[in-house]
Amino acid sequence: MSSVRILIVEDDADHGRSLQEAISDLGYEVEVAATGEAGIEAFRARGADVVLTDLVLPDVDGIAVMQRIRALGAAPGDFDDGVCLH
Amino acid sequence: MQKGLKRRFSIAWTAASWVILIAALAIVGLFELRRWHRQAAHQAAAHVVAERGQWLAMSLALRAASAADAQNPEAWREFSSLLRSLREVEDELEYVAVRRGEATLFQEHVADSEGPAGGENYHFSSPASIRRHMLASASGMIPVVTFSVGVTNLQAEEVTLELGLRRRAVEREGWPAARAIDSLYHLSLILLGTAFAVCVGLVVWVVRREEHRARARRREEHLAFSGMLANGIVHDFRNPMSSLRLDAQMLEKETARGPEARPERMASLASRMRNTLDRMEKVFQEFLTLARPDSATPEKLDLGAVARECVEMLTPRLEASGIRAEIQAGDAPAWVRVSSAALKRSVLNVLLNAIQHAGADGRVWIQVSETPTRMRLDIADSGAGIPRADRERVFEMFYTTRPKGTGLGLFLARTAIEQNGGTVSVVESGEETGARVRFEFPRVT
Repeated sequence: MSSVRILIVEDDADHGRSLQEAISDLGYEVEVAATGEAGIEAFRARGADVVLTDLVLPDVDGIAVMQRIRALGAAPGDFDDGVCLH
Repeated sequence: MQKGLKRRFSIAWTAASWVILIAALAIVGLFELRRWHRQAAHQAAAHVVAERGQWLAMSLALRAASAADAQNPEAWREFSSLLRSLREVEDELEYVAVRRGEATLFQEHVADSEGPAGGENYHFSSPASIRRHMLASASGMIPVVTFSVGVTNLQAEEVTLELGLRRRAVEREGWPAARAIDSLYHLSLILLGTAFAVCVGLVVWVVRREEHRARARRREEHLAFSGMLANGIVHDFRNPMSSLRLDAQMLEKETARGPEARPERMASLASRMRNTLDRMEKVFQEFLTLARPDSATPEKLDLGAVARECVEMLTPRLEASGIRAEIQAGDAPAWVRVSSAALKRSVLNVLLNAIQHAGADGRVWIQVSETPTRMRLDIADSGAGIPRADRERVFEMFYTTRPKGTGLGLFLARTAIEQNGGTVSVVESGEETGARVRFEFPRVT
């Protein structure tokens, strides 16, 4: 139904699952990655329209994840500014 | 805290006792000094009066001898008028008497009398003598100093002159010195009193300030600790609460579907909510442990026995993870003095950590050893180890590498052990040996 793909980077598995289900219910395609590296890998492999990331992750922090995902994009203009959700 | 307060009070008491002792010694010293100086001043005054009396007696004796030679009333009138003029300069002149043998030629009480001057025809037959006695007068008994001197006249008769000076003369002579001594004494007393008051004030001020500082420090520590706890609770509860809210919203939506609601989905949501609540309770329990001061008193424990007990408690967990635990301890007990609850909780926390990081089919080693002054308990695992840079960070609050870790285990272990006089640290951790956490305590015989 929808072409919007959302990537969630969250190390708390329960929280990730809750987010995944809640957002899926809204009709989006959701993928959850448990670590920063896994999130970057998922983006590289399958791409995403929206990336939601936790700031505190076991390997790389959320800011670094966003920076590296941006670096993967074709041009900086392809991305909206990062929004920090607390 | 109570001990510190007691120590400060004992310091204050010691200081106050010293100040009081020194003040008392100073007062006694000042009093003695004053007495000694007054005595010296009195002696000096007495000496002056004696010299003056002798000089007066000798001068008058010559004139008395001459009057006795003249043997006429006119001579004695002159002698008497001389005495009156003398009285003008010598207030304390009480009486003058002139005797020849047993006969009194002249006697006058203070005033009225006359007499002429003597000359080189007379010579002193005896040196002037001084004696102190009480003299009866109209106003009662007066203390006097009597100067006697004998002169031989032209008829080779001895004429004795007796001159009485009131003893008050000595006091009058010494009066300025005594006044000066008294003034200095009073000034010293005032200075001493002021210094004493300043010292007492200082001691009271220092004690009060110390108490105030200690209270402020305790308040700050308490606030910092409360802040840390509050921060921790917010940190650890944020994700579970967000999960709960989402799950509750989804449960609501599912329920709203009425007959189309999927019971298995509702059950899965409810079950996840219960899991989340369990997690929150676990974190809460750990915070409660942290907030509650360990009231257990230290006791003599064998590190080897504690290690065996903890491994036994974790056997189900070890078997489930397929991890082998090995205890290396000598036959002799390794005695330490520590709160049993704190030590066991800490060892369990570190052991759990080791089990979680040992990896599949891993191993955990528990080693009890000793140095000349310390007893050691090492817990090592076959995991990936802790990078050198993170060896201290692992003891920080909320530091964790596991998605479900609270980051409190090692922090709580270190807090409890340090409260009991021991230390916990990560040592010689490398890629091949895994992490090694070392507990150290002072030896107990």
